Amino acid sequence: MTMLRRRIRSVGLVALLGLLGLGLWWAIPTEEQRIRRVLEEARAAVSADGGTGSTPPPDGPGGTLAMLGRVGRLTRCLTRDVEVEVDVFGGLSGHLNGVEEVRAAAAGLVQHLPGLKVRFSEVEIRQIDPPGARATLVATIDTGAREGRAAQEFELRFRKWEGRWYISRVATVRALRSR
Amino acid sequence: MAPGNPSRMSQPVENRPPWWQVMAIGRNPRTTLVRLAVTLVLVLVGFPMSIQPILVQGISMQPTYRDGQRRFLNKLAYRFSPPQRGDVIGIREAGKQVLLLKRVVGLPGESLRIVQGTVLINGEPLEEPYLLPPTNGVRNPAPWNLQEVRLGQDEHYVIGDNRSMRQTDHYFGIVERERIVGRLIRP
Repeated sequence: MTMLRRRIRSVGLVALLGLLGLGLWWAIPTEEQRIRRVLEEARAAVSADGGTGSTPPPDGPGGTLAMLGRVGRLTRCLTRDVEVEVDVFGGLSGHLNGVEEVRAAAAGLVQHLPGLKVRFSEVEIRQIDPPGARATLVATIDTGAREGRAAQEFELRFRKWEGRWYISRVATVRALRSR
Repeated sequence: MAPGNPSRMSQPVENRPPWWQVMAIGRNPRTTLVRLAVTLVLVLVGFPMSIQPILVQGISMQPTYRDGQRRFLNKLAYRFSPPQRGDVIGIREAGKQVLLLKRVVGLPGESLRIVQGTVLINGEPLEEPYLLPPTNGVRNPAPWNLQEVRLGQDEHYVIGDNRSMRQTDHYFGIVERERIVGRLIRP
């Protein structure tokens, strides 16, 4: 009986230690986990299915307030001097400089594509060297329209400021270069 | 039959498993289990590591490969040897699932330019027997022009086989070795 009690006690102790470790892992995330959380915040802000976890806006999920909320959440993930470089063969190309330009572009995007869904895959945090870090990922973009689905690889740079990571540069990656 | 040894003949008949069991798991279940495990490992690990099925989309490889065709890539082709000129290769475009299908025309260290549709490698015209005449009657290759490009040590130059397209509409250029997934397995 004593043997059984001892065994139960030791198993309970191991389980408790495991839970404690899990709690610490969640409460004190690594730099990579912090960066991944910022990415997830940005993705959820752009995507119509992102989910806020907060009170729904009074004008509904597709309303102006909701859209402004999404844009606001996105810009909270960016540095003030963020750069966005887009160069897709046979598609969009352009350069955005600063958070205000990105805010305006994002507002237009969520307004014109209310059903936009974005999914990140193959996220690789390549270089974490605070205050800087780099990552690559594949964004699958679904506009909700017929044949409105595309995948694009991006390279991102991050900057750490006051203990929080912010996206400082986003650029599309092209597989083929002219030089 | 030897009269002194009758059990030798009757024993295997008694232990023989029913036919349905033989059909389902074989005469020796343990051997069948091992075979099944080996097959599963080959299918679930070996196949994805060595072969990638692809669905051709777009017109840049026409008429050699047409839109909607299904093909396979040999992902082990360049494990021990580099890509060769003329190889049709899969290039990672966006992640592991979206690939470009192109033909290698320039190798690392070479200089390449295009004059009136003819590819020149280190100043010598490249013979391209794979450029089949297109069905729409437009010349293949069309008179494309490209200024000289010198390739680095890890760079290959790739173009699609459909050179009857407008040059600006055709996605071609330099690809780094790390983006090359494998060589197309010819049907």
